[in-house]
Amino acid sequence: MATFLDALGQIASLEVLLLICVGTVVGIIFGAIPGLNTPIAVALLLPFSYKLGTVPAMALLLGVYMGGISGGLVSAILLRIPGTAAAIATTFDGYPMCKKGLGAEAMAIGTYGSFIGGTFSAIVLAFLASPLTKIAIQFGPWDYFGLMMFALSLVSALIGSSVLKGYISMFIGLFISCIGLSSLDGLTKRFTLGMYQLEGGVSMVILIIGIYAVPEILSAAGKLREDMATAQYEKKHFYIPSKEHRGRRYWRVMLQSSIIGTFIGIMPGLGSSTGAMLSYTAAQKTSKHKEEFGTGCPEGVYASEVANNAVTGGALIPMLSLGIPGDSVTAIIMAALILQGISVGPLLFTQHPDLVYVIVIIVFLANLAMFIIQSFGIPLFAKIVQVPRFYLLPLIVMCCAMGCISVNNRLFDFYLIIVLGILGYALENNKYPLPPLLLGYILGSDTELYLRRSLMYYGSFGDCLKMVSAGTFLLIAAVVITVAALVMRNKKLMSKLRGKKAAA
Amino acid sequence: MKKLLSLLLASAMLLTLVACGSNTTNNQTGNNDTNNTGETNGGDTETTGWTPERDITLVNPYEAGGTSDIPSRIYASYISENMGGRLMNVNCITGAGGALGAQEVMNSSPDGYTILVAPAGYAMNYAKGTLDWTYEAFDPICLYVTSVLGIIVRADSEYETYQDLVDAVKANPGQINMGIATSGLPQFSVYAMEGHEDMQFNTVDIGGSTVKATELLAGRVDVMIDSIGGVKSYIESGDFRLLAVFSDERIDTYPDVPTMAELGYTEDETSVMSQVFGIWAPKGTPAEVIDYISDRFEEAANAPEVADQLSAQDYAATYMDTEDYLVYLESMYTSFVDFAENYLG
Repeated sequence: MATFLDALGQIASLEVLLLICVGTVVGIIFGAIPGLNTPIAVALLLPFSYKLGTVPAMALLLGVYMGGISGGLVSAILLRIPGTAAAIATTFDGYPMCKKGLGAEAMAIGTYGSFIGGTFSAIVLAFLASPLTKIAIQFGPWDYFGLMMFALSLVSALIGSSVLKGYISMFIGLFISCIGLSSLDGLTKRFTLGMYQLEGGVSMVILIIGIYAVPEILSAAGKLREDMATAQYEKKHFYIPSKEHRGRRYWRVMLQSSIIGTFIGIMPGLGSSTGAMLSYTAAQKTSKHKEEFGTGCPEGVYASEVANNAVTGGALIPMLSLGIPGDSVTAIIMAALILQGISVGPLLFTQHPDLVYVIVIIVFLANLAMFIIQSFGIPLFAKIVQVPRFYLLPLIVMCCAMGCISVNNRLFDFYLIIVLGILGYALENNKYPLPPLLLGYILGSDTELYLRRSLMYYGSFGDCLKMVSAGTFLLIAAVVITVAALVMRNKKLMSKLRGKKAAA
Repeated sequence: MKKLLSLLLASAMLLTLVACGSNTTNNQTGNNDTNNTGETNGGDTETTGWTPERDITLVNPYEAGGTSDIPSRIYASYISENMGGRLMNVNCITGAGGALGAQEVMNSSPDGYTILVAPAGYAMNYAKGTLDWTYEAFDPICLYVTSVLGIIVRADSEYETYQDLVDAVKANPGQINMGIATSGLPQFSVYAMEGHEDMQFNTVDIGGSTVKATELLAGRVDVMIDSIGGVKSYIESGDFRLLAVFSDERIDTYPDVPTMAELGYTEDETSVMSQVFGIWAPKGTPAEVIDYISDRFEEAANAPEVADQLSAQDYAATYMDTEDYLVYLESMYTSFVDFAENYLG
């Protein structure tokens, strides 16, 4: 208790509180603009943190982290272009809500959901960090491989209208992740077509802009003459979801998404986009109102936004208790701590107990700041859709172009976006779901890495399968889900099965 | 409505400018300052010829927070204070065992604004045939930091000493899991150990980043070779034990831990085990630029606060100027190539 009060004392200064707010605002901006994302923002601010003390530095960087993951919902809801990968699942129900004229309400729900998810994971971080880490380190390469295959097949089989199209889309994503030097040893150049620019692979920002933003801009440009429902919102300064949208009906989805998000966060390397997509799929399958998903229901927005912010606290757990970062952002935050002269590792809890409390409190405050600032920002954001689209579309194109060129400072990426944009447009218009493609890309290289590691550890695929482990179990589950989805979606086969049953 | 629209457009522009600010502002200030650099030169430093007109990017080819990242950032933050207002920024371009970052620097213009953190691993990958270029494709600037690798086991492991480990591996050939970062320097150390003791590990990849400690913590690997700085806190916490260190002399922090030379390894074998980091610039960088950057690193290496920060993480601020470093690189590449011929056939 004394250390807790001590930590509280370290935070209760105007400088720290201001830095939390500044960080959150920067994070929301980087999150909301397609092409810029949280890792870029944290990496840009890292040099500034050298000169601040440990506590102010953490306030700034954690503020950016919390704001950035949440900020992606703005463009996801209003434009159907996810501002960051974490917000991909938010487009599924957020954009339809916006089309119905409920854009402001959807953003309010997303913001409220982010706050709930972030706070839940901060509480878990405060009380359960050590025991959860002990479970997490028991996950070996084979278990990760199983978990990733499970996530891939769950999302591919269940998210679109057709299992086959979902899988084709996922395999295109896996294929794109193979481009470049091979991930474990860098021995082979794959599918680079002799272009050295492709040796580093296709970067995530380029892929999201190409696959999501370009087709969306193209199809919006094709419908310029049609009217779109303008967002109806009351003139308010501060938005929270209406009473019916935060009632008891949504408690279950909030709790479920919080748990899924935090769990995915603890597993190094999976990331918030995976957490949000898994949580959305899980919410859709377990909901009492399955048919409403995808048509603009608050439950879908909650499922995605609660989970992606719950990942943040989860990702901090292995970092604080073991010195193992949960994602790319926590890796940079850890570097910031080391540069402050604090060795992050198993001794952090005993050597700097106050620091652990400081971080937990900052995470909580940053979530609160994000909630308040974003709620005030909603009226501003909502005006974006009132802008005539012949002004808005070129602006978005410009943002995207700047974002993609900022990745590597080269024009090659711009051509790449055009190629990917055509691919995305073709897929979208032939009803191939795009989320499995992105998930395939995001998890592709890690899936390969963990499979190759498992083979090094245990000899052969057969030996791996023989082990009684979470990995084998999840792999079997992945196959079962796919087969079940194939059978259940196939009406002919189903009626035959029913017929047989009736005959017997 | 029109007012509102223009306001919105303006604010959107502003946002994007803020977001991309780091690049735009640098270029602008860089241009403005070209006229003034003459003055600042004479005043601040006695180096002739060249001072940076914009920020320098130090490309680290490995993960943020990893073995090569921490010392680079310690140096960069010190140097940033002594470059006439210009900064040195660390940029991690990771992938393919460090080859991607090198590729990026190789393709940048040789003006001193993009330089590379070059680990000894590059020499190893050249000797293995994974890389088709050597230090000669670059203009090496200086050596700036060294770190020490060690053989690490869990504290509750049955291997109390190096000899225990060797006996166990000999008794169970190909059964003991040895964890290393593939394409990293420890790969040759494993070959050297296997060749020297005539034994066989089951070598597995545990990744190049900070995540590798989990594999040993959870007991999925029995032993690993890693930089001792990276696992320092686990040794202090009583989770890990150090069996041997790959350095010429014993380490002050661990006076009881033997060096590989004490354990009977020849110089040919130990020469491929020392982790050194240098700074390389793209081929064709002017000599005065190289001198300037080399001088900045020398200043930093001699600064007590840099040395303290480095030694707290078990690194050593070893500096070697361009001339000595080139001689060192030549002999280092030769020993790696010889080693590969002798041990890999």
